[in-house]
Amino acid sequence: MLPSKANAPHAKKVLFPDKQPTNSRQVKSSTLTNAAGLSSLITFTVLLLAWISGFASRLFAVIRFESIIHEFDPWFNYRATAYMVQHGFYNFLNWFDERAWYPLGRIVGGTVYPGLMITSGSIHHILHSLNIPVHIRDICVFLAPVFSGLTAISTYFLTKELWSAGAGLFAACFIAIVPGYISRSVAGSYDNEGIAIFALQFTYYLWVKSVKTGSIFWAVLTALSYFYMVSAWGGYVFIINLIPLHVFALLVMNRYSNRLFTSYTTFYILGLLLSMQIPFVGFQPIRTSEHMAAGGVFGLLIFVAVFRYLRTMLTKSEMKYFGGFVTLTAAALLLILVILTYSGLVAPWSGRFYSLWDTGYAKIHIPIIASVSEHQPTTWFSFFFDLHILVTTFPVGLWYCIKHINDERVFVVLYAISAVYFAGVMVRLMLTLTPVVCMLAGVAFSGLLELFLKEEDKDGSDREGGEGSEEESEEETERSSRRALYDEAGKLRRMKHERPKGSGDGLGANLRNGVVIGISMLLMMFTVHCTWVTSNAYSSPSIVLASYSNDGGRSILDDFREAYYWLAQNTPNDARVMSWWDYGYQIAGMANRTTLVDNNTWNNSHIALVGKAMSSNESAAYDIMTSLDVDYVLVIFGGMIGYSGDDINKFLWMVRIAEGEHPQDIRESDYFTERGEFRVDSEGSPTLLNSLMYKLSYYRFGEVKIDYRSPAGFDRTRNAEIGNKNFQLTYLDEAYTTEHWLVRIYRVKKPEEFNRPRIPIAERTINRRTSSFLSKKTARRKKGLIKGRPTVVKGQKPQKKSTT
Amino acid sequence: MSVVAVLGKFWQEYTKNTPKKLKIIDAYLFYIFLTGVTQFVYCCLVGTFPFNSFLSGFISCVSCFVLGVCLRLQVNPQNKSQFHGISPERGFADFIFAHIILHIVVMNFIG
Amino acid sequence: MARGIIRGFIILLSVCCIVSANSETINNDLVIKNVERSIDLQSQLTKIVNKLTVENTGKNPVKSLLFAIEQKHKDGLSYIAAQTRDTSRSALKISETKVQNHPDKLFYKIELKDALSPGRSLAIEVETVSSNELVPHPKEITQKEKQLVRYFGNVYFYSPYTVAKQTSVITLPSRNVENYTKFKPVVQSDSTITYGPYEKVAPFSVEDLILHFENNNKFLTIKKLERVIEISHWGNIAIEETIDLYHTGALLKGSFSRYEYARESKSGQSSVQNFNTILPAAASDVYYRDEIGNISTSHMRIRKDAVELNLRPRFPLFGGWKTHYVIGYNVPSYEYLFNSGDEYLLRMRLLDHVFDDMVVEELVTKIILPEGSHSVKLNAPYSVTRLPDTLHYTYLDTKGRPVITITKNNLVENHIQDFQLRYTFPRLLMLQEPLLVVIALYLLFLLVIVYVRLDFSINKDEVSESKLRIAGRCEKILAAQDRRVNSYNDLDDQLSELKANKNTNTFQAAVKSINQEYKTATNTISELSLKLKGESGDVYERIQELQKLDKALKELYNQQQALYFDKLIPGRIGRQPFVDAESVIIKKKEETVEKINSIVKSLQ
Repeated sequence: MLPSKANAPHAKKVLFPDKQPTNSRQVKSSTLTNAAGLSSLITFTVLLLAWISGFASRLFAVIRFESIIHEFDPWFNYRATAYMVQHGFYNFLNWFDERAWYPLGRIVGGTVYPGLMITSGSIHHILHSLNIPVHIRDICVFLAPVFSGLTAISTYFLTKELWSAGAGLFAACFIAIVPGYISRSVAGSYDNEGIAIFALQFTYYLWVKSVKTGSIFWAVLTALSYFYMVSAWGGYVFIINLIPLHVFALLVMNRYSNRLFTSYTTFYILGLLLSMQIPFVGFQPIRTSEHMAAGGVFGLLIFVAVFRYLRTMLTKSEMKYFGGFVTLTAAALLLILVILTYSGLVAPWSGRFYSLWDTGYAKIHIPIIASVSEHQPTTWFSFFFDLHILVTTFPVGLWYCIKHINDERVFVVLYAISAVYFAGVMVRLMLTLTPVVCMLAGVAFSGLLELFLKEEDKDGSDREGGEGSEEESEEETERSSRRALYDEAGKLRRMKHERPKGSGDGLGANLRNGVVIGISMLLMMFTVHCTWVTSNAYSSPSIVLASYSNDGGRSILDDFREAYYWLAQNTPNDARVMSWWDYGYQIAGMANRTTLVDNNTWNNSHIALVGKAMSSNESAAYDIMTSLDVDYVLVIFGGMIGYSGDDINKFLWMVRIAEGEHPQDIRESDYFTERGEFRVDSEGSPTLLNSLMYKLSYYRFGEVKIDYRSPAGFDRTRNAEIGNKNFQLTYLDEAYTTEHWLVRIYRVKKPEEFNRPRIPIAERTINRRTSSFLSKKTARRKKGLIKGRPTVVKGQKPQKKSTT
Repeated sequence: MSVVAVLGKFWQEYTKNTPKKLKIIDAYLFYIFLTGVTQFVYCCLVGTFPFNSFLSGFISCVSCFVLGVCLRLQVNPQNKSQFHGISPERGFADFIFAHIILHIVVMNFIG
Repeated sequence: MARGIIRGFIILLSVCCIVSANSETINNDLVIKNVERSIDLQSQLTKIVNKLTVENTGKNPVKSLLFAIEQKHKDGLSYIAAQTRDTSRSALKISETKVQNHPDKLFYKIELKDALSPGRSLAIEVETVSSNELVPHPKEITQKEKQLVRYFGNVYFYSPYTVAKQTSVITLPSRNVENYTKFKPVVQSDSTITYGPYEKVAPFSVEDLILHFENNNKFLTIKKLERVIEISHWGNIAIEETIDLYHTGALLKGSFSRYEYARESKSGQSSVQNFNTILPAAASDVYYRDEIGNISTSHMRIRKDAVELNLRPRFPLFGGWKTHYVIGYNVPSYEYLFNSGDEYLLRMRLLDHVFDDMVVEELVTKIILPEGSHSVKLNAPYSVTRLPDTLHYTYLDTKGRPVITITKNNLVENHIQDFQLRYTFPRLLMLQEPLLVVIALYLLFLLVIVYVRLDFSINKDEVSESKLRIAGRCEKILAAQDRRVNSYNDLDDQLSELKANKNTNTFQAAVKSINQEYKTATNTISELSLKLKGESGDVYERIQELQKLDKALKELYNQQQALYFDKLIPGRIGRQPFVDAESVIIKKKEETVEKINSIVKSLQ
């Protein structure tokens, strides 16, 4: 009875696989362990970890220094938020700030994107209504890191819509730690971009969703999210041009569908109406050329829809009438638009916008834009620096998307291409490139790993004779390889786990393992790079400087706050402080004093006037300063400690901007030596050596000997001995100089106290006065100079929103 | 073939092939269209002085029209395959939702 | 008219009565035999120690004596205390009073422990501390100049009684004295000036004393000090002091030159670069900051009995400059908070040390008690003003924490004394806050659960709903399919047994029940599939396919059974053909099973 014996187990074996799922399903009947529950648990965990790690890696600055607002612009945002929290929302909208742009003032409510303030203000309000007394400063400091988590989540959703959940998780993890985004969202960098990138991604997600479903509901949500974006950042123009571009591309590709019609028309009309609710935006959406493309596409879409509808009813020959009609109308509309633009009803493209198309435009026409370092074209280095391996992998993702094109992938392709272009034009727009790069790199990595892990699973299941849920193990492997982003221990464990699976399967398996390990190594390197960049380049508050001594000890240079606090405490409450515009927001925020110009560079001629005062000689400057009611002058001087971002290094921009408005008084060429060099030593041009900025920076510096090797008055930043020593100031008085000479504050003298005993007005004669005018002139001592670099030393790291 | 003939044929086709529900929506659309035209003509004659009021009135007309068209597309049984997962009831609920948002904003904007 | 006069008289009388009830008269029987007065002008304060020997020359024992302060020193007086000079050095009670006929002067009544009997004498010591009595002269100096101040005083000890003999010793910070009143006998040696002895000085005699001398010590005044003590019954007391600091010395004239300040040691002698604050020994988590963040220039030294904090304001303080900062720390509550049952006693300093020889113009101390405390009783070491209680809301508070606010003006270091605060706090209330958190979390989870459960019923998305329904049906179908598979497996077992044993009877009995089960399972599936037909044609078709395959499979089993029954058991077939036939059937079975499995998988 041998056959029957052999038969029995055989028969059982046949049905065995059928039985296995039965068991497994019975075990997994509880909700948590079934496949759907597990994958959503994994998704949840990964997103949570992405959020936490993104949040944590943005805290370098808080841990190293303190919970403080960074840079320049955030100080204004913080001040505005504090004002709103204190005075209420409506007062904020009507806020006329007389402490800025003296004597003009600034209507803050109408010239600001209020989304940021409203966001943190409402968080503050909610917390306080729950009796959680968190200071508004802490909310402002931690807002950007918290929103980075939301950005990661919306990136996940967007990528999931575009490709797959696995790619979405990759993208979420990438965007959580990628330096290009961290650079604008570290704790303390309380700026519009911090929340705007979230709004951007979320709007795109909702848009893709609404295009997919054609639902009015999603389109309305898109419009609302767009509204939030408009309230948060001027970059909303990117959305309102990209989405019409997408629609247009779909039309051209003959991918029109009724879904597209419902989603776009609903989005556009509601978005248009909503965006006009922001006071700063006002009627721009129907008045400026930047917004016209969206309207054009809206009209086009309606025409196409009507056309299509008619075609269902009529025959081709009958359509001719309507075809002609449509073309005529379209042509007429275009003509009207052109006429409107010329007649000035629709504003032409703004200068900042032009500079996006023609990179040389700003340099020639608007020096104030060109002077900002973040408006410079991007270097190749910074692409790699900010994105690391993503910059090389994202074309792969792009290729995947083009290969498997559908409606929403057209969108991501357009997004990627336009963002790459803009990022190339301006360093600042690197920020809009980063999310799409993360998404596409996520697609690429997900595609690769799917290829190399899925097959292995099939092998494995063949060998084991079971067919475990493929999806699940795929998720599993993806998750664990992603874990590498967080802890390397997890990664190592996974690799051990993988080896026995693949071993013995020959070269193919080894190859696969090799690729998987290689990818993991790449991802590890990416995390290491991200952490390194974040910690070294993007985590400096820039108002507190740290210097490291040779033995590794750290000393903090707190000169900025020293000076600002001195101003706050020891000057009259209504004192007016003149400084270069870079420091306007900080003076207003920290010292709470009136400034003449600040980082909201809306009035070029006012800035030029300050630039002119700084670049003229003392007496000419005094006239300007008295006409502007200046009480104090603040300059930044780095020569004592070798700080490169000081006012002397920015001086040429002041001269250029002043020259733009006052070409008869200020000429840039006067500030160069005959050989065209900008030098501060005794060979420097006399105009420079007698300019107000020079004198204020170097007042009494000529007596200082920093060490024994260098002569007195040796400027460490420019490595030169200064050319004009031992001069006296006639119209100004040193009011305060910080410990390391970084900030110097001068008091502008009243007319009656110019360096001489006060003379009763009756006894004053013109003669005496002129003699005292002349007495200020001191002979410049010409001396041999130390060899050094006499040209301008640029800042060592890309400084944001400040003049180079 | 003259334009009149084409229009006549169109009208015939329309009355024959359009369900009653859609006709109701079309009547609504036509009404909205007339309102919009009236507003436009009025502003051409009188001027656009409170610009935001004119804008909010006109845009609300346009958006009512557009939303109506969207609803019509979603309700139309011929388009059922395109709008996967959107039943006429769902479409109508979305329509109401969009209108609520729209009119809140218009109220705010009209001043 | 007469009534009016009477009424006026009555009023006058009553006023007199009130005055006399509150006021003292000067007892001329008392004579001060000897006064040794030492005036310490080394800091910004005027510290005077008067050593008196009082004799009762009258006939009645005297219970108290008076101490007078001149009108011009009235405002500056900040602290006064008296004690006996015997070995016990016990403190005497001293209180402000009024004296008839001397409304312009300030009088203090010192109550003696034991009445001073006639003819006896007593040695006591009265200490006064005054602020703001040193006036910079000149008022403005440049950075290089020294700070000179003037002191206006009295050569004599100002007394309501006749003083038999007196000497005054004035201690100055340095020997640089510009000028001083030369009222003989007077001796200057080094940094001290001695006036006297003078004999037989009549009551209230005044001889102006003017001193003009160099004083570069810290002339710092705290304009306002707000001290917040927040008590937590979880073992911590948080203290935060907000300080407005002024340099009240000679104003800075002209410019401030950093160069000179850094290079020349003589430059800016009167400026204040840093000072030491002494905190309690248990202080931890100290922070030192202002509105724009942490002030990084401070050092902390931990000593045996205190924590010494070297504070540097952001900038050196010159005359007329001011700064503002916040300092905070935590101390463990067991050192300061005592309880028996629900009764608590807090004993802490009303004012703490900020810097040596400090002057506080206005002190506001706020004590935040835990939520739910009541019946608060305050016991202050000296007279203070208690402002109305307020409420303070912080983490997880519902009805707010009671805040006790105390204020007092013009304080000096001698005022660093403990107050006592008794209050009642039901201990059960400590559980309130954790419970609140627990309940909030519970509600949150409940909300999530409810949301998840209700999600599908709220949403009128029919597609997903029908999908779910289909999925549910599929689940049931698959369960039935599992039962069917089980029945097949049982059948297999039985078949193999039949092959081995050739026992048809037992086989048939077993197969009957198996078939029964199979039939019910098949029926369930077909019923379910009918229901599915309306919802998803696709799934329905697949199930039909499944049923068809299943039928085929069943047929195969029947064939196999028939093969066994008809051929094998009767032995009508040879071994080889049987094996062949069987393997054919089994192969077909395998194929069918494979197909069924693929369908089942697709249904999952």
